[in-house]
Amino acid sequence: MASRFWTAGSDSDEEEVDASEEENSSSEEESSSSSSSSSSGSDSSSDSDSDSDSDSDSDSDDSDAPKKGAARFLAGSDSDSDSDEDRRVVLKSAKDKRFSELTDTCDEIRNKMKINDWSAIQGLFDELNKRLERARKVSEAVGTPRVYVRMCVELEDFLNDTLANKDLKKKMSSTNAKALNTMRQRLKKHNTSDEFAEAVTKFRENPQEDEEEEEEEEESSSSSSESDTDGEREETEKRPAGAAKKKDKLLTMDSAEITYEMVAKKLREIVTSRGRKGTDKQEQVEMLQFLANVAKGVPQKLEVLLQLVGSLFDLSPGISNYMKVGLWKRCMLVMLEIMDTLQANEAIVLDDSAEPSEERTAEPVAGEDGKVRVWGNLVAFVERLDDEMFKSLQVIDPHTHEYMARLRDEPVFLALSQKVIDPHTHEYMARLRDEPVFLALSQKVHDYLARIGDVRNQPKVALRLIEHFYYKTDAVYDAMRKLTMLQQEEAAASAAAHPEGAVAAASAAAETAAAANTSNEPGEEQTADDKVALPVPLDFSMDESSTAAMKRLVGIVFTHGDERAKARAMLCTIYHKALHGDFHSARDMLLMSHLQDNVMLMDISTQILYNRSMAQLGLAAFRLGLISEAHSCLQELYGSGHIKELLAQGMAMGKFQDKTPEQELLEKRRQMPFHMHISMELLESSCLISAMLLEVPAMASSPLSVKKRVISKSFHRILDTYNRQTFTGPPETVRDHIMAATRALMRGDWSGAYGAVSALTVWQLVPQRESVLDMLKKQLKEEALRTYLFSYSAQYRSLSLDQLCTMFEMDEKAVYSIVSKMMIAEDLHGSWDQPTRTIVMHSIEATKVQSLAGQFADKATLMVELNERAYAFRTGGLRDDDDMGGGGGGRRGGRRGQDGQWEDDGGHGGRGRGRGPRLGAARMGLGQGGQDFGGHRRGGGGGGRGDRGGFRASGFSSNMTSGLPDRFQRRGPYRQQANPNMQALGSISRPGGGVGGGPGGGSYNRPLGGDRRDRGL
Amino acid sequence: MATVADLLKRPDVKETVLKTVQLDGQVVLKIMQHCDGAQPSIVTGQLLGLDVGQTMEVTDCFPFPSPEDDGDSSTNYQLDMMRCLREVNVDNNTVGWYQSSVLGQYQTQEMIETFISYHDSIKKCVCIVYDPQRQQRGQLGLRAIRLKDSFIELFKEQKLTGKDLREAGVGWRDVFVEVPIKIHHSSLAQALIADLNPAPGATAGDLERLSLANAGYLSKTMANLIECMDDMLAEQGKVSMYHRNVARQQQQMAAWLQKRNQENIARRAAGEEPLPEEDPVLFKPIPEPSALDQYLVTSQIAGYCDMLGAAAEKGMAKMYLVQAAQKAAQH
Repeated sequence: MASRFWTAGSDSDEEEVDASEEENSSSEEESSSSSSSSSSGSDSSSDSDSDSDSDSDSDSDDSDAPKKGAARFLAGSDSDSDSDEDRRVVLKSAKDKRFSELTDTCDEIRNKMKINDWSAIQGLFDELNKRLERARKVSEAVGTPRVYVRMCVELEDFLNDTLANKDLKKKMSSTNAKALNTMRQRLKKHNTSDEFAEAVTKFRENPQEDEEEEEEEEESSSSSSESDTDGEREETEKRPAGAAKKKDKLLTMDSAEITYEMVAKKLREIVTSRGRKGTDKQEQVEMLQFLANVAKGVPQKLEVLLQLVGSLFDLSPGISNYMKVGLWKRCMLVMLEIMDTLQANEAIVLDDSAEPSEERTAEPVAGEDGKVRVWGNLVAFVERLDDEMFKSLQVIDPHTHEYMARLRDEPVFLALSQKVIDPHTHEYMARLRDEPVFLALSQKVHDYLARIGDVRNQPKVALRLIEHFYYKTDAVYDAMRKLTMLQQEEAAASAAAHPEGAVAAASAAAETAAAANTSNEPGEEQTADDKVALPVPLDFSMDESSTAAMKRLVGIVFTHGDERAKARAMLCTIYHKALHGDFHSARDMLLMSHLQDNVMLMDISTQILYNRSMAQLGLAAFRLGLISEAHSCLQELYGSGHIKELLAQGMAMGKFQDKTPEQELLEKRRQMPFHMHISMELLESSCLISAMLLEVPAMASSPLSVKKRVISKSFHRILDTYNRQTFTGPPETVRDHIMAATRALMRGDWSGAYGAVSALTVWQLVPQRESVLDMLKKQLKEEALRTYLFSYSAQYRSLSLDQLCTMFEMDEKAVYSIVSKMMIAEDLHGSWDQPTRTIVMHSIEATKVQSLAGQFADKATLMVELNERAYAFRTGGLRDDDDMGGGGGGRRGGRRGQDGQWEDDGGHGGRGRGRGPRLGAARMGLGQGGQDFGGHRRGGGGGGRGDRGGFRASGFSSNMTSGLPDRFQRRGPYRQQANPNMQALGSISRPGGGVGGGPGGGSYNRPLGGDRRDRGL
Repeated sequence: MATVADLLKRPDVKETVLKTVQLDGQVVLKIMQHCDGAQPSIVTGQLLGLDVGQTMEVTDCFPFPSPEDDGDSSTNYQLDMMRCLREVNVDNNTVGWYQSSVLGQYQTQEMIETFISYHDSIKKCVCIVYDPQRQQRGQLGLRAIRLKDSFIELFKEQKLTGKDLREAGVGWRDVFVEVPIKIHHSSLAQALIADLNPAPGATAGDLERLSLANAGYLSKTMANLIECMDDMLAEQGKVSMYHRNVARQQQQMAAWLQKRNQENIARRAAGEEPLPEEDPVLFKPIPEPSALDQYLVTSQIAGYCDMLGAAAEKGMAKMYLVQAAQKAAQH
């Protein structure tokens, strides 16, 4: 039997070997008899064997087990380890039974300990824990049974003994050693876990106290072993106790007696113990709090306070959870205190490059420049606080009071950040005052140098501030400002009542809270912490308007920030501007910064910010009635179908994508807090309405070939499903409303469309509700007029201007301009008859043959184009040839484009131009048309190669729009399918279209320009 | 009628080449009767006659039963018919077949295959294509078609890729040849016609020819043309796909060769035998797509263009005529 051999081998003591030898022989007899008596004996023999090495009483139990089989687990048989008599006592109370189970297992473990069989101990320990669970269930006692605790302690001591004995360790078999290691780790974890730690320490303090009936000699041995063995764990466990003792000493001392040295020493002690396992963080915080009060001198106080902030941060658990609100508030208070101190003592400079005051015992002397350097990184603290706040806002349910309360903290945070920045400026001012003698120039240079140290961190804080400001509308900002002022007033009032001042009161409150914390359980800590009031510092004043604040802060970031900070600040500014309705300058900023080009390379949160800015930009454009701009901004976001993810305003419940938990967690961490959300409904309705306003007239202008040119795919999809419905009820969702409006608009019924659109509830969210609705009404009228003319002009021989005016409730001028525009664009085949104030229609509807001829021409051109490409493929290798040919091709293409226009019926040509503005940017870059065409030809030649896809696509598209404005648009979808890059490029160039035409340009001026350029080719 | 095909038909110097197809009056009438009756489905029939030097004399014909009537007996029908005709002492020498067409569509793969199968036994077989619509518009709807010999050779060898056709100098115009038709009446018949009635000033055909309404015809032809363009585009796609594939393969081949070269250099340096530079197994030549369909579609397009051109030309002329007539009436 193998197990016997290694047990024998592992034993070091001669006597023990003998003993086990004897026992083995006796157990062998028993086991052999048992195996002969039952068939199941063979498989349990090894198990019984390893057990049988120990004691005769457990022996009997184990040898019994195989015989009993399943009955072994019955209540009666379970409690039978000690003796035969016990086994027969079946009628025990459940509690007693469990208890005796525990005792038995403990005994067994003790036996194993004797023979050093760690693998068995491990198994038994597991069993013991299981039994403990069961015992607890039955007895419903919260405390741990003393037997169990004693066992734990014994085990631990034994473990330490074993570990200390190197010889023994070496002699162990590998399995045993492994088990020993496992056991060590498990026990360590187990005993230090808060559940048992207390009990264990209590036991250690008073091992003699016994409620047990049996007193064994092991008891004394264990207590003796406790005294001589000093494990690592124990040491760490003792530290807080020691600290507490010392604290007591300090606490009892008169504050006058406490020297600088003592405080410094204590502080150092705490600092070194920080981060170690088993340190009582709570206690540390308490201690630091006390130290802060007794600290000698301002610098030391600062040091202590800084440490205190750090320890407070330590109190909050890991990165995934957010800091408790109370804790956060305490942090804030301490930070405010630090700031106040710093402000009061201008000579002190916080610097994270200054060496931590390691060995200083005396008060630091002021440096040669009159400054005292204290180690500390305020920026890091501020950032951490901001992050924690962000996290907590993410987690807290937005519809509760709690959330509101949390938001109210924000001004305080702002005040803090404000102050962090202030020292810089303050310092700056101070320096200015210090040296009035110098000339202005030299002053500037000097101050610049003085500030170099700050330059690194200043933008960071400024960026944080920006990120708090950018999403606030004026109303919100004002409300916040008022709230701040109100709080300040209150604080001032209370300060007047209590001479010690608001801050002192606050710190006193914090102290009481801290006292409450330490004395009570965690549950109460929560409530106590929540009561901490955060007063707004009196000297904090917010800027008059958020715009001014933004401007100032962004300025700081732009001058000193790194690339990422600049990009973020830029995006925030764009968002802010868009939010305040300044679409044009926001758009210009976006385009001039070229953020679209490299936003894909940035980190995800910046990308989210970019998306948010885009969405806000679209909304701004929509509010201003710039429909096509709004559409191009929003469409990509909305059309993607992942708008929630893109804006980080909720998790996508995708059916087809399985995210790993890590991914999900990451995504959760990215979510925006509720108060920063952009209303999804508003986005949807803006996007769909702008799509509707663009799409309906376009559809009306080409009723036969709807599929030909799709402005908004998602809009079409929704419209299709809506049309397929067998029964359309009254509109409920945003989509329903807009589809109902679309229906009405397609008939030219603007009032119906307006009714459906204005019934949307989201307009309540728009600040300038009236003006937006007015704008919508106006747009709807215009588009309805256009649609009406597109759809029904063929039915009229002449149309009276007055009639149109009454139908669409528009003034004459507007109707006149719209109709004239349509005539110029050849959308409407008619002319004005001024004397009679009518439009005379020239019905030049294409006959079947004509339209067929048009189609044929399309096909033929396509074929020629493909032939040219094939030809280019053949000769593609020669660059010179290619460029020459490209020029020729460009010319040819231009000519063909015109021919095409002539051959087409008017509707086609008109729409071709109507599409112009969207691709305006692509056109703009077409100064060198031939060159571009060459690019296209080359690209066409390399059709199979994917690497140059982006370039090819861009060249191709610009050529398309220039040379062949109309018929190749149909191939747009192919193009996009073939090259996904194209989509990105398209999206980038789209807003550019607006710029190209200039902000004032109507959508009909530009196409003419484009057309002219076509002819120029 | 100056059709494209006519213009490009090159007179062949060979003695045996077919110059004209001489149709008997009764053959024309029979074909017309059969095809007109079966409109709009396409029907076929057998041409019987004699091959006399450069002229193919078609003296008789009989219709094939349409496949939907009775499919199984059609194979025997031809033989039975031939036997019966022989018994009544009619020319029973098959010289070709006739078929009806819709708006001049006849250039199909099946047509060529039928030609080839006839060609095995009858070297100079012809096909008479009858277009009822054309006839209704007051034009002769009959065409005699045959395949060019050079094309037949190529087709039999299945050398139909672009390269083969180019090397053989066979363009798309060299697939079908239209042979002039001569209608021949026996003297007796001519005498009878002359005897029957004095010739009228204007026949019904003349009146039909004056009809101004040709929009339907034009749009129909146009639609067909567009369809052909689609086919053409598809063919073009095939070719460009082929080109792409070839290019890719060449790239791969080049890469492989380079690799092999380097390997060989290494081997030579190591004193080993270099590996062969050619590996026929790895890169099979990609089969070039057949150009036949392109040819057919192209000639079809050419046919449509001819038709459209002719129709437009006539339409214009008629318009001027009407204008002049109206002016004359006003004054």
